[in-house]
Amino acid sequence: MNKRDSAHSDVAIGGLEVTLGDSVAGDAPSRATAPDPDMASKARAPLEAAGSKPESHWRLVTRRFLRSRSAIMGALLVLALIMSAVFADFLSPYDPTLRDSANFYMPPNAIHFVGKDGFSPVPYVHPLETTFDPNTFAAIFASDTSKECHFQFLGQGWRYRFLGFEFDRHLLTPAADCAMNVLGTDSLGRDMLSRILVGSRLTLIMAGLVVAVSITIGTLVGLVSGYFGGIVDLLLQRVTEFILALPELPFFLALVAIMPRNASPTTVFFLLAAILSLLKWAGLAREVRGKTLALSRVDYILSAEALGAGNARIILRHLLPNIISHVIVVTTLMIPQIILAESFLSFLGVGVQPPLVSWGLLLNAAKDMQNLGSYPWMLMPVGCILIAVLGFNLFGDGLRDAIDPYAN
Amino acid sequence: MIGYLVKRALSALGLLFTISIVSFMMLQIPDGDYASYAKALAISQGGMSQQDAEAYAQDIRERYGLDKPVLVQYFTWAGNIVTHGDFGPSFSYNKPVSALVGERLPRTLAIALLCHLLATTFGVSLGIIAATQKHRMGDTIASTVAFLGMTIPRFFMALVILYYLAFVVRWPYIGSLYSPQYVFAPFSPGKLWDFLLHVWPAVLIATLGGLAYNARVMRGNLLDVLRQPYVEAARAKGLKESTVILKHAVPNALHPLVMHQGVILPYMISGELEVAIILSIPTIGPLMFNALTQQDINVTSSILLLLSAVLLLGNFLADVALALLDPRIRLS
Repeated sequence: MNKRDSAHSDVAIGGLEVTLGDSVAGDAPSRATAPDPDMASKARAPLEAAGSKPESHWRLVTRRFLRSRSAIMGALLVLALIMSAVFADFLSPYDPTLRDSANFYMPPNAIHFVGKDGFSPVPYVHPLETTFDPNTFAAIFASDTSKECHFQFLGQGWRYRFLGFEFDRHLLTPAADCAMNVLGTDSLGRDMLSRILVGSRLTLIMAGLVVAVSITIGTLVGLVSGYFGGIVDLLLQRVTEFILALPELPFFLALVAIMPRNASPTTVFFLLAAILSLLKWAGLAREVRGKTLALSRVDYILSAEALGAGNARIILRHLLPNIISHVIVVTTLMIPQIILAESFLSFLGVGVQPPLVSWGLLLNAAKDMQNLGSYPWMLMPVGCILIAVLGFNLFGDGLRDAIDPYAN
Repeated sequence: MIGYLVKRALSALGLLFTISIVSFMMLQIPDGDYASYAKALAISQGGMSQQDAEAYAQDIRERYGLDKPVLVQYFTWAGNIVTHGDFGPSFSYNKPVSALVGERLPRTLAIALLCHLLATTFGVSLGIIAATQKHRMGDTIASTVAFLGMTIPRFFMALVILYYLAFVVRWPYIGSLYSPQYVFAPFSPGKLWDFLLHVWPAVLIATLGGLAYNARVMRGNLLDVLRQPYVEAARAKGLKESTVILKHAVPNALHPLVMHQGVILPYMISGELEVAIILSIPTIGPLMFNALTQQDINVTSSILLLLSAVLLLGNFLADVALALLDPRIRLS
């Protein structure tokens, strides 16, 4: 509890009662347990007179969070990632499903801003000329620097639906007579940039789905187990122990292998989410149980019980608010783990199935040694995975330090 | 202490039993068994007619007991394991699973233990450096290394190393465990060196993650210990700073680390699996992956069971070590 004491050190001048009352745990419990509501407001009065309001827990967390440069960087990365996933269609120059038999396995094409007509904010590319090596028949790509293919800013391109409306405007629309694949194309000539942008959606949705399910289960199991104890606790603890004892990766692989082979890609997607959720809740459940056990012996819980509060009220109003910050930290740090697990399984070809697109699935093209050697740019989605993982980890670490600065 | 250890051992055995049931039952779920796989293969590649292939499949079912009830299959399987270490046949490799896994599991464990050793040594040292130089250069560097080691995806590192070795330096030692001249050679220092030349990418990648984990835990623990009054007392009586740190603080910061070893071992093993699948180092990883794509039930369930057993054993050893180190656990 010393974190709250120090947090309120500037307030403590006002009156000892307030710091003590507030320092136990947030607003909700202290309000519920305060024997005389008038006393609290009386004690608060000199504070307001002094002109300093006690800062709420989340204000303090925000302030500590903003003090760390790496945390802000993580938050910005996460924000950028989410925005690009939401507006993926608008940002994609090409239809990610459009095949182009004339331009498959094209290498990335560098964008330029300064051309013959001087600087322009809308970039252009030099079209790539393909010739073949007369001996090995390997494709040789050369930029035709005499030509400039200009993107059109907010031009009309392929049609997509967003929020129920149909649009055809894109941030940068490629010229119709020119292959302008900034990050190259895949085996069927589909634009990699567009596919990576659209693929981010599935990767993030998967992470969100799995985290939502496992956090809910983990928190519930932990709370119930820690609060009720007895036979319920015993049973739930055995299940948790069992889940924790399973080796993660082999278990994922084993579960993935028993998925029905002829299931539709959507079914496979949801089954995969279920599989990933199955193992992830146990760690959190154990932590929440520990915290709940410790909290159940605290005075304000005992007095709530003595006042006749029901189990639901104690759990939801008194226990949950005290563990929620820990749960939030675990959530942010779990997202990168899910992204990695999904990507690895999809990379192996046993995760998300085409025609769905995820980063891991895009990487599957680089699994073959021959492809990897000839078209190393197929490894590009790894960069996105790396950015996502770094972003969420920086964000989560920053959040953890901000919420609980005394944990290591 | 004996009572405590017996309790831990019993709970580990109970878990192992549950895992064996689940891992076996789970692999019964998909429609089609090895016989249907062999039938499809016989039709598509052997050019067998539908009837012949069905008879062939039936024959396989009888030979391997796949037509018996699931419960009977489980008890035959588990009974054979317990009585004479027989995990049944691998359908697709046409060999006993025990031979197949017995050949590869020691390699996986050897690599994982090597990683464990390196990760502990370097991780603890890095943690000590970080804690003693808190908020200075050494701490920043160590914390950055630890953060990167924990966040950079292992399969990313494996892919990059694979690309670099295969296409940039044209490293001749990938995709196998020994160079041809050493495969059947008896053990010699040259063979060991050759082995290391083949497996170092896996060791490097798995070590880096574990090292980062250890360094983080160690840094936190040591910082806590350094705040204790007895450290202050040791300094006050004029001991050298290095004695204070290494003799007084570090031994007391090691306990939570021992407890964490149970967490780090699975991390090492799954790291080894992941990297081995990508670099096709013939250990458990690629074997399990191939068996899964071919629905080779016995191989996958045996591996799952064996790896779980290894992890449970690791956890148990960590408990023993902790009990030996920490009288509070020993006496409670």
